[in-house]
Amino acid sequence: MESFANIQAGFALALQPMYLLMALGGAALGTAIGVLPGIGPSLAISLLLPFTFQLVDPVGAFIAFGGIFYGAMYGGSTTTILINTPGESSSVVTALDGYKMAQNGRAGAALSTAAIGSFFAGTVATFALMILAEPFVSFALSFGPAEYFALMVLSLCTVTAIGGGHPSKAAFSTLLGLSMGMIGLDSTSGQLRFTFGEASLFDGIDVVVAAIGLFAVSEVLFGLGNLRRQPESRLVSPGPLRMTKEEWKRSIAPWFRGSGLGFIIGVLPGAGATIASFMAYALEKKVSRHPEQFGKGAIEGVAGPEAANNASAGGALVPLLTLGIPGSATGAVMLAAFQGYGINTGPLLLKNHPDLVWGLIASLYIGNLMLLVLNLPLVGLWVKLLKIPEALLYPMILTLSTLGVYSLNRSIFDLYMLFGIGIIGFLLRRFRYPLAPVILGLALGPLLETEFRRALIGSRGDWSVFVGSPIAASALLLTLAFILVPILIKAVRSVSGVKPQMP
Amino acid sequence: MRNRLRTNFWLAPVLAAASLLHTPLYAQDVPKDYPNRPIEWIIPAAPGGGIDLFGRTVTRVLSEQGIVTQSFQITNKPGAGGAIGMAEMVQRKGDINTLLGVALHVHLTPLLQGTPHSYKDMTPIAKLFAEYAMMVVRKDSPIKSLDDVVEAIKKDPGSIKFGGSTIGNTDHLTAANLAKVSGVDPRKITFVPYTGGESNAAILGGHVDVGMGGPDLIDLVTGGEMRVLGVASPERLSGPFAELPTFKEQGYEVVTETWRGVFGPPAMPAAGVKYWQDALGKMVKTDAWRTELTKNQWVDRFETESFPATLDREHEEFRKSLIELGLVAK
Repeated sequence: MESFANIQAGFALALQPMYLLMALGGAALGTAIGVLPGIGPSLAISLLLPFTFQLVDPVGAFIAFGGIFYGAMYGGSTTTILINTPGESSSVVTALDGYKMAQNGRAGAALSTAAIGSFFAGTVATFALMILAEPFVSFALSFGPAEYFALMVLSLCTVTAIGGGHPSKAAFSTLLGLSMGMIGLDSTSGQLRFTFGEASLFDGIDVVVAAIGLFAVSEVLFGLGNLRRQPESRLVSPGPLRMTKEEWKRSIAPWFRGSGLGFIIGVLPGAGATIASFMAYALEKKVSRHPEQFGKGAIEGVAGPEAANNASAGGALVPLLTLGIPGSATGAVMLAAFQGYGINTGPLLLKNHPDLVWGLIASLYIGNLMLLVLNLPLVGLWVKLLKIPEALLYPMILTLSTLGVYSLNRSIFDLYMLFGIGIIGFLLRRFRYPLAPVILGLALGPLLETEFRRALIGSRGDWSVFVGSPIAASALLLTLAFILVPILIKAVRSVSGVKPQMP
Repeated sequence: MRNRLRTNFWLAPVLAAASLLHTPLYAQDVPKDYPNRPIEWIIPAAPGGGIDLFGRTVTRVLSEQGIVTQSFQITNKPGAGGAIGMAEMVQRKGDINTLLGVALHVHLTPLLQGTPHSYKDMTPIAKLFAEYAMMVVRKDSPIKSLDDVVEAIKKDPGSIKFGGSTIGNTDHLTAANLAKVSGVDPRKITFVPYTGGESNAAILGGHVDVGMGGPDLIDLVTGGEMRVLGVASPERLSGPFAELPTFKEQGYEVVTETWRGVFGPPAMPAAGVKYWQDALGKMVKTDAWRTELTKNQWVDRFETESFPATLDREHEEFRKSLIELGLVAK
């Protein structure tokens, strides 16, 4: 196969010491960026751009960017699992079970399954990128507004279903997120909504600010509220670092499923790592034989989503490298980097710059391996975070969150938002409303609405557009099944279960 | 003499304090060795778009050519059609160390979205170059020419799905103007708004019939994925665009220019404005800048003194066009 000859040449290029060093540097930097809440890979790459143009050739720069891209995905899960502070919106869902695992003394296992799952998914996605890029592009392009709308509806419903606790409480959280998503500029009509003239709200509430507020700040508030009631410190022991045989067994299938799902979602330019991770979580809960453990520290709930968000990063490169269409914010920055080097992207990229594309793909393999080597030994170091007493840990979380949020837009208003949302998160926690659906609602709300309206504008008001295509129709049907099947099962059970008791 | 000295000695701090009270702290003087601090260049868009490329290219050429030795610090302030970048700039009244690289959003965003700031709230420095919109179709589209598009919308104005950037923006205006010059009510056309590169995916996937975009679409055109129906420039462009027909030569009087320019904060001291006009004036004469213009299909439209008047004229034109489209109330 031609791909394999090409990838050999790519490896020959990427294995040069200089490029290996760039891959290592990128991977290390990416991990650090992922650990810091707020700073994401797209911001980091755009900060680096002016320097790379002067210092290194395009191949070296893209190798480093690839490392940052994947490294951030690795790092993001660390703070999520240990201190419930998601560094990126794509690791929000990891907080549900990852943090619980850490509380149960399985922090080492959670970090390991995340790291190995990420490695596995990154490798699978890179491999898929190599051989499936062409067919996947036409698949991605077949997604129009109606298909995206149906996909968003499906993800919102599945997340509401997985939220744990009472379904109506999960629905409330989703709706809260959706209504928060209404704030700001309406991208279809160009009208400002609910901003009250505050310029910082023109662009809506930043998902990362909301995620850090809801998870990290409310965690601290909640912990402080309980401090006095606890006779002794609630310090948890890090527990044994290694994954048990049982944990390995429970992780492998989710890694596979997460990789496949993540890659497919990543290829779609309108979706992304956040949707991929949420859907992977929903999938794991659906197929699990013990769904009741989810939300209480099920390792599948970490393994699946972490694999998915990494695989989606690989998937997002497909439209970027084949068509020059970025599938994510990071993709957009990488596109800018291509342009900065005077490289024309688009369908001719592979033809005109095969060394660059295959070198990048080869370095993604290498970068992934480096990340695993870099991160597994660090697990032992990271879990020591758990030994820090609350009196030190809480201020640390608040400092880290505040710094991270401020670094996002350098806006004081964002800090008010952070703590305001933190208080809302505290109230939600207090009354046992799930937090993750709020983030998904906020992240997907604007997209959901935009795609809905695009579909209707394009069809000139004809509603049948939503069931006109097989993809859209089946996604909506699946959603309906998600909602109706549990109700039907309950109904059937109550009918058959109640009968014998009747006199 | 001694007396005067003493008076001065006492008077100086008083005067200084009085002047502080009188003129706000931010109204800095322009020092002789200006710029003596790093210059912050605000890009009112996310990394990766045309405005971003513009800002990064200008600062790079200014530095590489040694025209400005002070370093540039680039800050992306994206969001709300450039309104957030403008709001940030307005806050920096009188600050000589900040520049903003802008585009047409200084007109369109306040007109369309009712955001509080427009070009009038900042100090125009220079207009640098223009980009022209293109109308494209995917390679296997049944539409072969602008005439095909016009014929279809004459029969049924809403039958063609146009796709491009947000409603009321240049892409929309190009489609609307094509309708207008063909005697079709521009309000009745179907225009699906997209952001970023999404419209390219929609064009390729056949989710819109006719797409609009800037010169960056050329990669997809030379790659054979898209065909160009017309370029909305006053005359043919150069390089790979030389073979592409304009709207005008096909009989449709449609020109859509998107310029890029540099602004200072409100009340920027005249000496600061002069410095940047001179620096940019030097830059546009360099070969390095010429190369960038050709590479990116940017058409030189360097303008300094007349820039404010151009802005006023354009603002009225845009207002008129948008009123015609029913997007802005009279």
